This record gives sequence, structure tokens and C-alpha cells, in this order.
Amino acid sequence: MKGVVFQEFIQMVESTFSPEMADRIIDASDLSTGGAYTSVGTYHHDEMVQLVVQLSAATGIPVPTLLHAFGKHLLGRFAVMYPKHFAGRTSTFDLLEVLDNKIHVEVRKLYPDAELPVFDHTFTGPGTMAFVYRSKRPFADLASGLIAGCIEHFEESIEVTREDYPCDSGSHSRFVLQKTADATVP
Amino acid sequence: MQPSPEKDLLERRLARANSAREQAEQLLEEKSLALYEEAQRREQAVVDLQESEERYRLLVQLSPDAILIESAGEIVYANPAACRMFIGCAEEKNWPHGRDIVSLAAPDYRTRAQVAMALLEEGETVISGEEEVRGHDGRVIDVAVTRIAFGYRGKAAVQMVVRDISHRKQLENQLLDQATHDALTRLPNRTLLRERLAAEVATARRHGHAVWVVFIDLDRFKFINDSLGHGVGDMVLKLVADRLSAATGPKDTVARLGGDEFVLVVPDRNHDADPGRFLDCVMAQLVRPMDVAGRTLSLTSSVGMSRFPDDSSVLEDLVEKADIAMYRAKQQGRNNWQLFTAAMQEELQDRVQVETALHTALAHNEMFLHFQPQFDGNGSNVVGVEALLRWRHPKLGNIVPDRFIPLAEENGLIVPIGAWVLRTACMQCKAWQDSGFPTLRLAVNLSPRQFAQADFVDSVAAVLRDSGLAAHWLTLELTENLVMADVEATIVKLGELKALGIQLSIDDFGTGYSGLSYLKRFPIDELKIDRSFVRDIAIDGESTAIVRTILSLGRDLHLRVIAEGVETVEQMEYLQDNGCDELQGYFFSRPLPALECRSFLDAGEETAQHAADLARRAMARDAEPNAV
Repeated sequence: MKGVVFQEFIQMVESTFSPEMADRIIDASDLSTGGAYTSVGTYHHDEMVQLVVQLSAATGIPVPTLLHAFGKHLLGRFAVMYPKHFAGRTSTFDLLEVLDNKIHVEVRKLYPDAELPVFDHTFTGPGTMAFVYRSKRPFADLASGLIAGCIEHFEESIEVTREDYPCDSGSHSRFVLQKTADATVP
Repeated sequence: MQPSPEKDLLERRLARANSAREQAEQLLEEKSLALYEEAQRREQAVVDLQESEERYRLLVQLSPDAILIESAGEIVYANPAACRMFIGCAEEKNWPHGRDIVSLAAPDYRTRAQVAMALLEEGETVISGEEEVRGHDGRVIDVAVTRIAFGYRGKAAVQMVVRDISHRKQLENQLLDQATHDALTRLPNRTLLRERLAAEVATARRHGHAVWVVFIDLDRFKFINDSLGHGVGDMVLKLVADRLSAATGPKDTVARLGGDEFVLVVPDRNHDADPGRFLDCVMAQLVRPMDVAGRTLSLTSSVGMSRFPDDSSVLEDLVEKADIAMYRAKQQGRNNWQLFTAAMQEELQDRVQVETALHTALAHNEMFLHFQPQFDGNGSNVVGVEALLRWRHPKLGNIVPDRFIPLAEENGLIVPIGAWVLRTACMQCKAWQDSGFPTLRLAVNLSPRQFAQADFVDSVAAVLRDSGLAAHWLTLELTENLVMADVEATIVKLGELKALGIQLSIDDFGTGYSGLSYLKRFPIDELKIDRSFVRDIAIDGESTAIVRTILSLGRDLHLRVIAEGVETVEQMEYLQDNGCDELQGYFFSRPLPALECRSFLDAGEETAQHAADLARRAMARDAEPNAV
């Protein structure tokens, strides 16, 4: 997992809760890096799991909720940090549509070692997009947050339903995004 | 002082920030290094690629093979070798526009080239083969061609590699020529003969005509080789080859099988040619005098012919049957031709059968001797006996000497057989001498091969020693041809025999070729008048004259003269009147088995007339006039 995600998580914890909370969960986790992350580095996703679990323990907020919130936060940050990926994108569907075959391609150019999740999308009907998420890591909630962040970013009204599939490790989920009546059909 | 928690937190955050920075710096260094190495690799790859291209360019430019590339129906590249081959200069820039690969092929190979190009278009990747191209000077060149489909500057293209194999082809042709032609005469050899014969027979089958196979063997060619040397012999063979080629048509085959054997294959396409006239013509060509190495030679030949389909449809049979017919021509006295007949084959088979049986005849005790009494000039006293060889085969029955002696002479069996005859006859004669006929002489015939044995004189001495027969009772009969074959050596050997005390007789005198001047030099004791002259006494004036002359010659040279084949009173009386020393023939006695001969000797007091009566009765019973 890229260091930028860790950086953003710690900053979110610092800003949402407090620098002490961030310091505390880092201290409580067994981290090879001691909590020092550089954005261009790559770290084991288990460290993120530990941090989230520690945050959940410290705050009493369930892990899925934390991950979902972090996803929303992260989407907002990506929009700031990587504006070129958002340039010309006008809707959630528009962005999610190019996520796998354009944005991830660009990510790989910079970080050939990045282990990226797979997003397969289909348009199943007018104003409806089905979105399958597969990852070696247990971050379907994070993906869910990212989708929510995306909807929020484009200020759309889209109803998201999620279906989790059983898998040996990591996560496998299907999201169905249905624009609500007041939204425009692409 | 207690450290404040805020300060501790800040310090930890600072430490994490520093650590992150160090990681970032380290990552930066690693990435920089990786980028540098990648750049180096790329640079090296570019250099390698350039070198590879240069090598390929050099390879293509210096290649002795012509290399051309055709793209979009036009040759877009030709290396210097291709330029040399097709435009006559090595400058690539001079290659003309608008030519395609197919246009390079020789006319006979255009279609093939078109097919190859079409196949490459349809997905074949490589097509190789041997073809012919037309060079810049119009010359047709044998080449090995490989056409390869590939991409050239983003377009489908064909690369053609053309190797000049004309030298190899030339060597192959030479090799083929050597394998199928006789080195001396350049005529087709046995291998090519077979091919040509097969082709002619196949054609004849289709068109329903005959094919003649003529087997030619030069008469006494060995004599030319032996006496004038192989150089002269080779020149003669070349002349013969030329003459045979001249005597035949351009579509006929003249082949040399080896030695002095030639074979002609002549299709009788017009169905009307006369084989006899053709063979006469061939023989007439050969018999014309030849000027070779300052000498004029005249050569005859023996010729045999077989015909497809009358005699055989099998190739090997045709040559073999022509050979059999040629052999018959030899037997007929050479210098003639014979057409194959089934009877010839039967005789040959018979000959093979006899020859096979001959190998075991002695071991199986199938051979025995008869003895024909020889009388004094008065015809009243037996003075000696001539030992005569007989052969009775358990299946083939009695085989006359005329059938088996020439065979034994040819295959060398005559040497052990002759030795056996001499030994057995000497033992028998000695036994008769010891039992009351102490002055009985013995005559034994000698074969040329037997006489030619290096240890012949020693072997005769050993037989005399073993049998106890005194040498002067033994007369060895030699033919004229035997003694004339190698006069000087014969004189030496005859001298050695003479030194042992043996009597020497010239058998069949008057029939062979003898220089009378040599007669004086040979230490001989006796002349034996051939039965053919004796038979014609009082019938044929010439024979009578010859007999009289031989008797006169004998007297003058102080040689004993014996006549063989005396069968009538008239013959006997003529010989007696002209002073013949000894007489032998059916008039007195047929050749007798040893036991009967003994009885005959016992009855020696009886008159010659009585003996003649016995002989007449015997003749009626056993007409067997042949003698060894």
C-alpha cells in the first residue's frame, strides 16, 4: 500500500481526533516503520489494518465505519493532490469508469510495484452502474468510502447498494450505483 | 524537570517526519540508481542494436549469396552479390526500379517462382528449392533459392537468398557422368546401359517394335594387350568404340561393359531391319585394319544378339542371352555372329551342369581309364597302349571327353585330372609290364595347362619314381598348339623331360599351326598323324598327300610316325606301304577297359585280322570314337 494512503490516514486522525490520538495508535501498533511514512514508499497493508484497529479500539468506532470515513476523506484528498485525474471528469460514473483502465495505468507508470485492486464496471441500465471490487486486502469498506467520497465530490444523488462475496483472503464485493430521480442520466 | 507531553509528542512526530524524509531520500537514491542503470542498459541496447544492424548489413553486403528484398511487388533492396549476378556491377544504387523477384527466374522456372511468391503471400514463411535464374548476361545459372516472408519497414515483404550452385551442379554432372560412363572410351557403362535398355524396352512395349541387344567380344584381344602392351590395347578399345558408334545410329546405345566386351542396344523401330545385315555391317567396321602406334592391326570379333520381345522381356536376360549367343560365336571359331536360340541356353545349362559335376568327379571315383592298343607297322604286334580318360556320372551317364575336357581346361581342373591320369596309367602299365609284357609302352596326352605348371617336370619324375615305370616306356603326347604357344619355354621344358628319358610325341600332327623349322629344335621322338587325315586316305587326294608328306618328314627327321584312327584295311595298307612305323585305331582295337585290355594283350599272338574283327564287333556295340 502506497505511503500516501498512510500519510493521509494519519493526517485524518490528527485532524479529526488529535495528534495525540495519532501518536497513541502508532505507539500501540507494531509497525516496522515506527509510523514514519513517505508518500512514495510502499508498505505492508497490515500496518494500515493495525492502525485502524487501534483507532477503533481507542475511539469505540467500528472498523468498517472508520474505513468508510477514511475512504471518503481520501477521495477528497486525491482530488486535491492529483487534479489531472479529475480534470474533465464530470460525474461519479465518469470517474469510476476510467478508474481501472486509465487512472490505475497512470499509477502503475509511477509505481510499478503497486498492488492495485481490480475494478470492473458495467452499466446495467439507465443511470445504473455495477461495480465489482476485488482486492488482496480487506478494504471493501475503504472502497465503499471512496465511492461515497466520489458521489460527494461531484455532488450527485446516487444510491449505493453493496453485496459482499465470500473469498479466502482480501475482499470481493459488488456495488450497484443507482442514480436517484433528480440525477441526470449519462 | 518533567518533560512536557506536548514536547514529547512533537519530538516523536519530528522523529517520524525525519525518518520518513530519510526513507524518501533513500528511495530517491535507489530510484536514481535504478534510473541510471536503466539508462545504461538502454544505451547498451542501442549500441548492441546498432552493432547488430551493422553486422547484419556487413553480412548482407559481403555475402557471396545474392540477397534481395521485394516489397509491394518491387525489389527494394539488392546486395552487391545480387547486383553482380543480375545487373553485372556491384553498385547497389544502380539496381533498376520496377523489377520483381519473379522476373529474375529463368523462363523454365517463372511459374515455379510465381507459385512460391503466392504461397508466401498466403502464409507460408519459408520456401526453398533449386531453380535456375537468368544472369545479367543472359546466362542461365543453377541456384539454390530460399524465399522468406517477413516484415520490412512495416510492410509485408519477401527476402530472397540466391546461391550460385552451378559449380556444384557441374561437379554433380561430372560425378554422374563418371558413374555412368566408361573412363577410357567415354561410352555408357553397365549402369547406364541398363537404364537405356530399360527405356528402349519401355518404348518398344508401347509401340510394339523389337529391340536388339548385341554383345560384342573382340577376338584374341588379350594377345594384343599381352604382346603389345596395355597402352596399345587401350588405343584399340578407343578405336573400337569410335567404330561401333559410327556403325550405329544416334539413338542407339553403344556401351562398354569392361575389358573387350561391348554391348549395343538397337531399337528396330521400322520393324523391317535385317539383324544379319546389321551385324555384318558392325563386324565389317571392326575388321578394317587399324593403325595403332605405328602398327597395322586387324581385329575380328565374335558377336551375339538377343531380341526383345522374342528372346526375353527381362533386361538382364536380354544381355545374358546376347552373351550366350556371343559365346556360341566364339565356339564356332570366332569372327562370326550368332542369334540367340533356346537351344543355346539349353546347351549352356548342360555345360553348367557338367562343369558342376566335374568338380567332384575325381573325388567320387567317376573317372576311369581306357587303353587303346598301338601296333607296329606290320599290324601284328602290340607295342604300346594309349591311356584315354573316361567319365561316367551316376545321373548324367557317360560324358564324352569332347564335352568335359575343354571345360576342365578352362577352369583348371585339367591339372589334377591330368595328374591322376598320368599316375594311374603309369601304375597300370608298370603292372602289365611286370606281368609278362615288359616292353609295353604307354602314351599319355598332356593338356596345355598341365604342361604349363611350374612343377610339371618334377611331378612327372615323381610319378615315374612312385610307379617304378622306366621313363623310356612313357610317351607324352603334346598338341602342336601347346608346343607353339611359347616356343622357348617349351624347348626348355621338353629338354628337361627328355633328360628324364621320356619319349615325346606331337599329337594331331598336321592340324595345328607349326613352323616346321621349330620341329628340328624340339627334342621330339614321334609324330602322330591326325585321325582326320587317316580317315580320308584314298578318298581325298589332299589328305592322302599330307599323310605321305608327314611320313616322309618323319623319315627325314628320324622321327617315329604313328597313325591314329585306322579303321579300314585300305587305310592300313596305304600306311604300311608308305612306311608308317606304328598304327592305332578301331581296325585293331577300340579303347578297352583295363581288364579287357589285359585279355587283348594276352591274345597278342593272334593275327591283326582277328583283332580287327573284334574291333568291328566292338564298334557296332559302342560307337565312341572320341579320344583325349
